[in-house]
Amino acid sequence: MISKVFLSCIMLLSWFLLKPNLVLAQNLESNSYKVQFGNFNMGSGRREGGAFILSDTMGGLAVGPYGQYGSSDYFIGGGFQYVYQIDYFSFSISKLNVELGELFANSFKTDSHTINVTTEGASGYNIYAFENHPLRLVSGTEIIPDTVCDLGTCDETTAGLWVDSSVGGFGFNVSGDDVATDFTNGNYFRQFANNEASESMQQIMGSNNVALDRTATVTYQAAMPADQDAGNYQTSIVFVAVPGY
Amino acid sequence: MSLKLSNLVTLLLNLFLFLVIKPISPAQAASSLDLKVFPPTAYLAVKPGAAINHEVKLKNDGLYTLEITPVLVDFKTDERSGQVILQQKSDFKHLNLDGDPEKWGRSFVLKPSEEQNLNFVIAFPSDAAFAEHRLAILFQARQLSYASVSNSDTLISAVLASNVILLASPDEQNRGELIIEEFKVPRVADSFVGFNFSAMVRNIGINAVPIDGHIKISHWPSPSPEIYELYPDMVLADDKRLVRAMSEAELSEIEALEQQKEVLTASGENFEALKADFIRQKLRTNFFYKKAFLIGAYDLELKVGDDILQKRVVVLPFSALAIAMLLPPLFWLANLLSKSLKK
Repeated sequence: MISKVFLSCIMLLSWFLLKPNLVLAQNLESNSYKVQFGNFNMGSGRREGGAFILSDTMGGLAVGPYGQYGSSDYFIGGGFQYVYQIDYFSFSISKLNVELGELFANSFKTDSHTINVTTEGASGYNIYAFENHPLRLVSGTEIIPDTVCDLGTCDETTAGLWVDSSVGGFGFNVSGDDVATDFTNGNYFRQFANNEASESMQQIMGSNNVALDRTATVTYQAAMPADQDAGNYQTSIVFVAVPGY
Repeated sequence: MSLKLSNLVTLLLNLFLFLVIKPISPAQAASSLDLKVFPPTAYLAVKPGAAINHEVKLKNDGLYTLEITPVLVDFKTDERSGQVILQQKSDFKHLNLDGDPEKWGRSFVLKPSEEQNLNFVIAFPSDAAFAEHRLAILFQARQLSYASVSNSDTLISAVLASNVILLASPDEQNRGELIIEEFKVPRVADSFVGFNFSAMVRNIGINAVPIDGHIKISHWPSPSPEIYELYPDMVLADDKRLVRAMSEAELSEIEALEQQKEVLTASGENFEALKADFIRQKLRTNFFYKKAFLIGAYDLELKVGDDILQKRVVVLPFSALAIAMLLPPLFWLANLLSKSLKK
């Protein structure tokens, strides 16, 4: 009995000692690397050649009229030195393929993934999205049109309620931080802007302020029109992440 | 033997506990695509006839090797909040990766955990016009190989932008100049409601310049005015922007928060998240001034650079006055009703 207790204690001890350390997989760079106003002039310099003078910058040295701002006392004395520290602008997507599987009439197929943004400066960001073309049969030319939602009211700029699977189409919903307000709830869908039809990409998420680990879930939904052949349909989706200034 | 067998069972049970029921790590799984770019925005000035190297760092923290294609486009602003509106293309010829115009649209590979320092050479001809250029370097990123993906899947890719605000300038003189475009303040407000205000500035100069100034609210007999410091957002040449500000009290709060960083972190708080939330709430473009009860004249002064604009809000208890004025007729009506009912 004592040996059992002893053995258990050893195992518990080893469990505590060997358990995985806390790992932040998406940790950014060291705090010491943060710079103010992008005036990161480490390693900068000038080289003079025959035709021109070449100045080096590392990570965005501001020279000329702009240079003075990054180093001026205004930013230190203004009280905002704790607010804007320029760092990497980060954008991540949890997975790079959407599996809708074989589509059949009168039934929804869905898939989802998350997108995440961090921009520690206070200038904000915008995420846009577009599709290269509507869902198209893998081995053919037949397409599933972009959804118009239950009442025929949604398009690439405005989301609409889409819960009726007899309404065929392809659309997406976004929920989470800083998402566009027309995605009232998880049943509201938009079309993707169709690049093939020269539609402009549309904002789906954005903020004018500090963005630290802002996450949204993108849910794709497709339903096949009743008069169409069942099959595998695909497209490609592009997310565009743009920092504010 | 039976003791040994029970020991073995205990050992296996513990091993099972250790391997299967271990605590779930708080680590987030690495994303399929996780791309980082630095700097998000760079303000650069180059003399005509000169050149500079502009280094952009691009890091792949995702799971897969990425094929990166750099593209240069122009951008417009939203003329309100510093948001970038990308254009389809750019005709700007003087910014090139390694000084080679052929490298636009040419892909390169970025492996997981790899960071590349990309050297963009900006070289203006000697006759370049004095102008500010709004450019965005786009990095189109797609998974290099989709070997593990079904050919019926919809594929996802990303584009990340690094903005470049580039000035061609013959000297280092600052020619940015801000003026007040709009200062929205109501003429009258209710004592119990408070009032909103906001301001927009315009840069009439020819290079970007940061906002510098304050909004001051004075009210007799209060001895000291309340001051909102304007956040030094950049306003591009010939552009507009809503001012953002924080009150001096809020700035003190954020300073105090920063000083407690180590204590908060030690107590398990996510300091960066707390700070980001605070900034998101307090650094704003629409201001709302409210106290328990406001009365009298409130003088608001907006100072941006050398431009000063003053406005006055008269605050009276209109809602209380309205109720007071409505009470006698209501009382009279109530009396009338009760008399008619008694009859």
